[in-house]
Amino acid sequence: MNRPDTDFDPQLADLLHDAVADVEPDDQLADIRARIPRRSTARRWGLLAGGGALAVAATVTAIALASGPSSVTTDPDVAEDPPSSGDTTAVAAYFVGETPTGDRLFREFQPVEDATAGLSGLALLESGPTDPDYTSLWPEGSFEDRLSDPEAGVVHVYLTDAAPEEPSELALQQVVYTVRAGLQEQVQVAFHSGETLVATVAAAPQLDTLSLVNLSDPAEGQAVGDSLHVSGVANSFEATVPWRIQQGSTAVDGGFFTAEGSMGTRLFPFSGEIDVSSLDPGSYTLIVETSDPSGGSEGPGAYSDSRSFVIE
Amino acid sequence: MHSHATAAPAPIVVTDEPATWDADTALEQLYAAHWRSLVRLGVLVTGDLAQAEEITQDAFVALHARWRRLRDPDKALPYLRQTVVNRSRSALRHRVVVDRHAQATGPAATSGADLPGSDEAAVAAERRSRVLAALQQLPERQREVMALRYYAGLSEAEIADALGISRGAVKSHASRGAASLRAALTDYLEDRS
Repeated sequence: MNRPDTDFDPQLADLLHDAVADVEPDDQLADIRARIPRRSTARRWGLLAGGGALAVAATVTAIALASGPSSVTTDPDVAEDPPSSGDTTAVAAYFVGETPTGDRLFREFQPVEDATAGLSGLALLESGPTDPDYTSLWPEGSFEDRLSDPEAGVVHVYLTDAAPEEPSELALQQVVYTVRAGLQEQVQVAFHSGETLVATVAAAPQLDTLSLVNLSDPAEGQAVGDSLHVSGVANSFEATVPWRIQQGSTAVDGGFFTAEGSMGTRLFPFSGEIDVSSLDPGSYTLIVETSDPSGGSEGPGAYSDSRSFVIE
Repeated sequence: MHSHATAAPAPIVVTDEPATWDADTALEQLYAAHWRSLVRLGVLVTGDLAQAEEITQDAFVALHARWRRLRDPDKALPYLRQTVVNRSRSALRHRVVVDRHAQATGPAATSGADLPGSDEAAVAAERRSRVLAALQQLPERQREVMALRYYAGLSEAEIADALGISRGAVKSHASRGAASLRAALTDYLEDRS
């Protein structure tokens, strides 16, 4: 049901229109056209170029960036079934969130109509996450609307001037992980600025890059009935994934899931149903964590992920 | 007297079928239709003309890159507005409040054939300056909501979409923003009580 809009004050509208009525911007269509990336510009990523780590088109190789975790690595396992959805396709994108070991990537699925493998994920990086705890390092318009077919294990991605001048290692990994999830192939990503190849980047190790626990279901703000379906991935001590449901800051239920594995070099799926029939209708938060047997006294502490949901 | 220049800029080709626009045509058409109003929106949010122009340029460049995905001219203006407002937010950290008095003596003020007398012009400049200053006093979100509501004429639901916040939050920002502006600008408002 639509509530009526708050009273519209026409006098304020007049004042605001008048306030800029004398603003006559210069004609800048030519400047805009000049900024549209058609021709190659190699001025990007000066730090990378300065490090001598540029891959050239003839010999596409994975490169180790000057900082952050090494990009030359074993291929993580990205092929996991997306959660079920209706008529639309659930497309995965990797966003940035805080963890006890600094910013890392969290995967989020969003429903997309007429999804295009690979490209739809990049569009989500631009439009951003639905979970307010996440963010994207790629502003709107960062990517050209094209993506090469994977060839020799490499996919070419084309950046526009709207993309960050010198993307961080984590920003590059956002793209690499998202493209791999979209294509379901363990590819490297060749980044182009205009038509110039700037760097080719492989996926960094999962355990150095991803949050060690990450929810897939429920979606942020999802409405549920008597049962809450939960799924996600984790790499947690003894495969234990503790969960709790909070109303505000008060825990109202809790337990744990068991992931399909632990140790290793990747995250393992977990899932389960939580009976919420005894909870009153309202807004709740589901929080999952990695198991921290030291209780926080050793190591960085537990990783966590959360989703708000509504019991109807 | 007007003389007909021989080296006039290439006319913009008017196309009747927006659905078939390519990115270059879309850029031309949308620029012709919305450049000025989007810059003005940017001025309301940032308080700075140069910054508003730069941000609006960014929005058109982003639109061009995105056109094949966006494709629908009906979505283009909301997209441009959203981009201008979102980019204004990050630009605000380096904001310089515009000097409206300096602007009032610029080309814009002398372009109108029906320019009022100098006293009236000074009064208008003062009023514009006060309105922009009052906007700059608002918290960021309130300012964005006020500009989208009272300048761009968006409904609360459209603003919620553009800013990615709830309808309730828009209502709250709108009513607080309006109250603050009314309080700051009582001199220019007719008492309706």
